[in-house]
Amino acid sequence: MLKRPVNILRVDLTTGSMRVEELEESIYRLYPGGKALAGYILLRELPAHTEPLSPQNILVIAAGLLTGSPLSTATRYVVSARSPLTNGYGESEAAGYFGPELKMAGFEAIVITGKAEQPVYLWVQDGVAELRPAGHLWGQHCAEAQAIIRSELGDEKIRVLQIGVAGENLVRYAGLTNDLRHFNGRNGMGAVMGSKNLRAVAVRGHQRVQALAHDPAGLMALGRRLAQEAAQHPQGADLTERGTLGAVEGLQAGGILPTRNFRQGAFENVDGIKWQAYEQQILTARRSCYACAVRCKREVKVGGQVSPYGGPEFETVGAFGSLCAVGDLQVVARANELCNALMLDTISTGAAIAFAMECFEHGLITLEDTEGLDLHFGNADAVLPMIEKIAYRRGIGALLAEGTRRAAQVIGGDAPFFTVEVKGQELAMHDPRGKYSVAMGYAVAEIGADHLVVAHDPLMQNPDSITFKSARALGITEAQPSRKFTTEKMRQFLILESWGSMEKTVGWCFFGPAPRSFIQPEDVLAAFNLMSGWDGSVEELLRIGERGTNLARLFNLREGFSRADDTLPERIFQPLENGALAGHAIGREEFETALTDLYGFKGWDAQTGIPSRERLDALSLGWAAEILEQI
Amino acid sequence: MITIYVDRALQFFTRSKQSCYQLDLPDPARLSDALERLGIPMGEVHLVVINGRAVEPGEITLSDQDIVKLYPPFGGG
Repeated sequence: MLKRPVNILRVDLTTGSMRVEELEESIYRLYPGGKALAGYILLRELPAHTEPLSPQNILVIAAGLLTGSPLSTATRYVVSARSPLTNGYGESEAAGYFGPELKMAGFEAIVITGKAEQPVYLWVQDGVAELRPAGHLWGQHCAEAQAIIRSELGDEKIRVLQIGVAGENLVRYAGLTNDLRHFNGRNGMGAVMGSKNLRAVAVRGHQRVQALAHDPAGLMALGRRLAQEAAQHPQGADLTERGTLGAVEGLQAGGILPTRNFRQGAFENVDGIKWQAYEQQILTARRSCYACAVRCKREVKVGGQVSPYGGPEFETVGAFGSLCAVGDLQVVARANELCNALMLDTISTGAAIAFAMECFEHGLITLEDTEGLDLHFGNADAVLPMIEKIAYRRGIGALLAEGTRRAAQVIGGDAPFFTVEVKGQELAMHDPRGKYSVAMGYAVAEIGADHLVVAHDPLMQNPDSITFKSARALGITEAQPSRKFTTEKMRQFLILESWGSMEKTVGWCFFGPAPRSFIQPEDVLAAFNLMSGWDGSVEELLRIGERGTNLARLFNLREGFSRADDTLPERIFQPLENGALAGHAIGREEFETALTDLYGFKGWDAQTGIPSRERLDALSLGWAAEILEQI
Repeated sequence: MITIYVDRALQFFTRSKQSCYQLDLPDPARLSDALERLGIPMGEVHLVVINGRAVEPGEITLSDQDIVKLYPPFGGG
């Protein structure tokens, strides 16, 4: 029995009206925040074929059951809508401080419809909400906008979730940031918010989330223990020590560091962008999210000044570094800062530049198209100007702002072969030819290529590893190799995908729960029960996750997606040109066989990917069955 | 003498947190003997690079003058 109602703030930007909806607890138990709650709302309320950048799109900001509790890594919230990048189910998670503050302000979620006539921002304080003019924020870099909001509202502790210029300009991969350092980067959620003339959501709350728990003392004790355990686990310890940056050298050694737009898996100038260079040249401090002992965030100096936007993480170092063949960490750090100031997704932006570089080297884009910018791979001087062009839709930036898939259609010729995307979203900085569960995740994720679908293969490959053994409670007992599609691997994929989807629902960061990191399944379950008072099980947690995945799947099926969209880019069926896996490619046939296996485990039709009525009923999604009839 | 570079994340297991060790081992030696000497569990090593060539850990033989690099699994995030 929850101690306060589940409060959803409903905002209609067209009329300016707002109201608070209380969601029944029995419904919240099935959709306990985040991914599942957003999917529930979007599938029920958003009409099919709604134009993503129209006022009719619905933007959902949803924290999770555990968000804001005193548990390390329980900090996440999602932002969801129909994606302008993929035209499918859209979603991006982030941590930091906004999610906890929203819960402290009395709300589990905000649902935003319509479009304001003039730029506005939403101010939410201890259960009360108002819309305020944002004309003076429009066009500002994110640091300036946050400072103005805090100053005019008179409180430096206000948490600000905002879009930047890129979202204002409807760049299809514009994102959101909270506290300037935590990013709902992917999928173009920032463009949706910009299309509504909504610049920011500012939040301040004073209700301690632990006081809302069924067992506050138990929850606090768990939090204290988890804070100790983070440093005692090899994954937790490395996330504190190096953040995600150890992967630069690790993936290089394995031949799977995306280089030159995924043609290669090893970068000859990797020494310029690896952790040693980072620590020596730019690192100033390690920081954390709300109540989290992991401290995976990096603080850096850029051009001698401490950056207000934090330091580049692995994905960004890959996307502007090896992917573009740029071995200059100063440029990568500046690129990170500029993307964050303008609020562009660093992965899709780096991918757009790498795509443009490949087109340029093939003569499909000329110096005239680039207004004199030399876009050969490795030209570090091109990176920052290209970011500006994209954010402001200037010159060739206007085309690249549409995403590589659309840009390739316009450029024509061989350009579509140079895109490395699924459903229109560009791959992240892990070459799937070395990690087949990552490959399947890229292929099937409803949001397009997503590297955070399942725990990555290397963590699950060795039966004697700490990480593999921690998955036993999830029903995983036979280790599988990284580069083979086995039926057992697909059975495990479903379990890990459901577990990951549950994390995105109740508010766990990817860096918390096993098998990726240190929080064991029994503690993940304990947290759920201590907070809610529900008598849950690991099985219930997995069903929550599977429910969220199926909601997103139904959304996509209704928009016309099919099995054909669960695929991999052409390049991935081609051999890597260098590195430890030179000559290696994924086979089309083995991939399709694995996909059929996976659909089978999911209870989806092998040809169409449509979930069976039986499976939907088992997931308490029988109400969604009428959507099946629309497909 | 075998030179072994230990990735920062695997230094989690070693007593002295060095990134490079010179080990006096019989020739040939087993990788498992080297790991035991360093205190690194075999189960935590994902990739071994020997003289520039990457191999997955297992029954690996090391020779005198070999340069070895050890990496843990990386998970993404």
